[in-house]
Amino acid sequence: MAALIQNMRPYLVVGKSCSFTWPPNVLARTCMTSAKALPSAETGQEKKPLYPPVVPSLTSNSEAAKKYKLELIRQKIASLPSPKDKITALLQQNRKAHMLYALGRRYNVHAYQQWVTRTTVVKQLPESVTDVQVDDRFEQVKSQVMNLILQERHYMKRNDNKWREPYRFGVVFTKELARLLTTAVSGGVPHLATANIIHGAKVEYCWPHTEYWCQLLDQPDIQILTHHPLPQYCPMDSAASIDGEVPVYEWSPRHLAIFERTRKRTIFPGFKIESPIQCGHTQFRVISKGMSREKFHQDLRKDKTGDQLELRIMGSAVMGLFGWTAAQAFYRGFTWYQDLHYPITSQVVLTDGRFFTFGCYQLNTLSLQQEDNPRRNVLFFQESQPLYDDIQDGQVVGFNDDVLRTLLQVLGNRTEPLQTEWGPEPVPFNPPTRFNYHLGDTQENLFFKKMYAPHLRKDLSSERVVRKLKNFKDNRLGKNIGSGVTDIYQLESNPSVRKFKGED
Amino acid sequence: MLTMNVSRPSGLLLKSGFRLALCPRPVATSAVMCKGEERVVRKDIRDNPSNHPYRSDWQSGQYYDPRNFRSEFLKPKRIKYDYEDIECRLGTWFDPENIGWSTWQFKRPFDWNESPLRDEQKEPGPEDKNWHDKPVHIFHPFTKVLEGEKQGLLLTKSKWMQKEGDNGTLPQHITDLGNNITIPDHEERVREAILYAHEHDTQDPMVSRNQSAQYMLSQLLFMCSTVTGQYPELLDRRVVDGMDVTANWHRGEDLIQTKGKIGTMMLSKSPLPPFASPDNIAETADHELESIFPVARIIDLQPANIYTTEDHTGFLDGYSFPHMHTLFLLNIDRAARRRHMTVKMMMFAHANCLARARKLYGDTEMDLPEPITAQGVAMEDGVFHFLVYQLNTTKLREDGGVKNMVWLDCDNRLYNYMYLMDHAANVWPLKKRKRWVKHNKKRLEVGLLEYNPDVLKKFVGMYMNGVASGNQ
Repeated sequence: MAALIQNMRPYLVVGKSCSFTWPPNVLARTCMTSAKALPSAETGQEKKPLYPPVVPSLTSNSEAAKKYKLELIRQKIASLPSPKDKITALLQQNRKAHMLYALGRRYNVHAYQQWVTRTTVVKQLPESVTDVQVDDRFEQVKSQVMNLILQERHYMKRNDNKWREPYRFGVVFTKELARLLTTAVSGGVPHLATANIIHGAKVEYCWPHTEYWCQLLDQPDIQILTHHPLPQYCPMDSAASIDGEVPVYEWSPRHLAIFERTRKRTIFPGFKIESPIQCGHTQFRVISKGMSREKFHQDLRKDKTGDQLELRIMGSAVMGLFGWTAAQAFYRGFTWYQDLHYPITSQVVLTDGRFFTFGCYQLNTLSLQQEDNPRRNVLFFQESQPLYDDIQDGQVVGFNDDVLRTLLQVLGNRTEPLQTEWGPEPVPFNPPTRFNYHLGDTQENLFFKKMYAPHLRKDLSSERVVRKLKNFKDNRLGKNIGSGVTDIYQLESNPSVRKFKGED
Repeated sequence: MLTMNVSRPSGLLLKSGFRLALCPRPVATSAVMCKGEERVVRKDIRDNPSNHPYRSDWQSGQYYDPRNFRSEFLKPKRIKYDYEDIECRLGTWFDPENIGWSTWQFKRPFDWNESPLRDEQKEPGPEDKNWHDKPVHIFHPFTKVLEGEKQGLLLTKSKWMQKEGDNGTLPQHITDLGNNITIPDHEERVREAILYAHEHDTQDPMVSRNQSAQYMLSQLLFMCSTVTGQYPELLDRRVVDGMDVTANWHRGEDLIQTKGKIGTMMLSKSPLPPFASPDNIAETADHELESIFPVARIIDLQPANIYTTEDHTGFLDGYSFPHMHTLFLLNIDRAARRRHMTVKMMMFAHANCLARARKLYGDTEMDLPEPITAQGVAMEDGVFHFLVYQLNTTKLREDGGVKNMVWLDCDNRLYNYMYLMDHAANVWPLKKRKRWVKHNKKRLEVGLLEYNPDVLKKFVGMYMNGVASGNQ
């Protein structure tokens, strides 16, 4: 075995960007030579000790030794230079985890969601959002939004049940609202002018909780990404961040229909790490798919469970924002074992087309596996309010200015470049990408250009290009482009067509 | 598998004697001999349906009828075989039709002709609501016409302006607009959008062309909308998905209808200005439409007798953005070619203009005092086709007189994206040494092959048309 490891030494690199890493015990053995001693917190002026410190044996199976070996692996992973390598190293194998989705479906599920993300909820929006000035174009934007409501509710003639379905309506309305607001606002706020708006990207995040692992799978409808992050809402040592109340849920999550599955653990905030725009600004979520307000009102009469609607919306804000923000924190080089130096923030707008709910999330800690961790994450939350009451005779009735103003304030919340006093950036913010704008003319690339893009070649006759394309297996769909490259119906060569045209 | 075993005595050996009685007649051994790769089956054994592992109760005279057999096909079970020399793996059975061993078959798609509902349904007839004896010929979004642009021009009675060979150019006005207006950091942003559309947005090895096209379109629109600060008139635009358009017109004796939901449409408060002067419009009377004789111009349109002849542009009267500005089509159909996309754009632009003209000037056929215009952009995998349409007349019955106008600029490649080996190809597992493996070949570079900023200028020109003038 020793000889084997000796031979494999060049390959035993933790977190190498390959599809395989060694299991922890093997890794620990390889760390034997590289990590000689437990690193001590105090360095520098300390006198060099006479003897090396006493550390557990690496070949022992005692509890202390196991812990020590795990610690060594963590240090090795923490010392990796790029966040991509860290994520690769931390998430290699398929393991069991509790599958979580943003929208819980059981009574009081928000308590569990807060517990598992260690989130405390403040029932008002932070001052930095409510202080944002909405400029004099408010009236113009308001008339535009009223027009949009009328368009979708009144004027549009979509004779199709598919388009009348409440979820579809919510999605369409939200998409167009986001398009309208970003267009209208972007003149005044530079961060939206250079933003990136993504529809339907997936968000995945996994983390160790005290006793088990959780995996969040989520798909917000719209994400707005900006170049610079949002500023913090409150300092990391403020009352809410330290002493905020988090409900305790110490039963099995099976009671809430949350189950374990073996799956590859993933961390993905909706974009790859090579992407140049890395900071989440705002999410839009359409919530009418999983719940209907009418049904909840029926339940209110029956079971007195009406407050569950707000709580469930709040819970989905908690889960969705926690996963999104924490995945971004991983892209900045923080891990569960290297906790945040500065808070990371993001915002959400939850809507079903008429009611609007706002949330602002401040991520203070990533290491939820530590039981003695004093920090809490904070969600600033504003309960749902209707944007308008009804539509009568082609007019919007009861338009609520406050909701639109809050919407504009949330979108107009300025981003800031990272502050130096927040602490050092653990990694270069935009790591170099492996994607090229233009492929260089290396011999390899030339070969593949010839092979995969024969139509770019000047030296081939068109027949040869067609023949080459016919043989080209189109890998994007796993199908042959096949026989119809020039003409799908093969009309030129079809004998009956030729006869018809009088060519034969 | 069946194997030849020379040392065995003749006669079918059963593991249990129990089923021997069920076997209709004794069959000889060495039923199948392995001869290299191909299997040879003795004919009398092959044709005896009682040798089928699932239907051992078949009589020898009974014929194999797959229609009565479907449920067995769908759920092959693991069964025990009496024949010593037959091993059956899960989901594998002996199929006398195919002479050999078969594996899973998929459920047949629903076939209307096989369904008993077919006989119950009655033919549509004059007693039906909206029945007309004269059929209408429908052009819907999935129609692919035989003769391409030529046929589209015939159906809409249009002249292709500035045609050069197989392609054409856009009006000078639009080209100037695109050259004069610059969008901040457009080059950078388009490149980022392309990379994002193809690479960054998913963990899957591939994104679908629909997804990447949607993303590219939304990015381009968003990018153009960032100049709203300079041109506040851009606020009078609205982008709507799933727009519904219907229009009917007579072409000769044929009644033609265009209807359906077509991609994304940009609407505006004020109409687009006309592209050609009245003199140019008058000149089109001399133009003669190119015939596709002997093919009828309604070929590939769908005839129907149940229809209504009302026209609409997708929304009720009184809507504040009634004018179509640009139609954006995404090609998600691999089989659709350039000619199909351009004809689709042409027909729907025409239908929208016609519906607007009828709303303005009534149903009488006339040469319009003020022409009505629309634009179209079709995109597929980085290739853009641009269209500009101007409706000059609603006298569409006869071929003579003033024609409508079409400008087309096709095959503008904004970029070409290269996917290579492992990145895309080997996502399907292969069986090697008893294991399913996914090949992970050497990672090669992926990226943009050719990026052409001129195409973006044309796009910007079309977007900014109506709010800015080209002579700045």
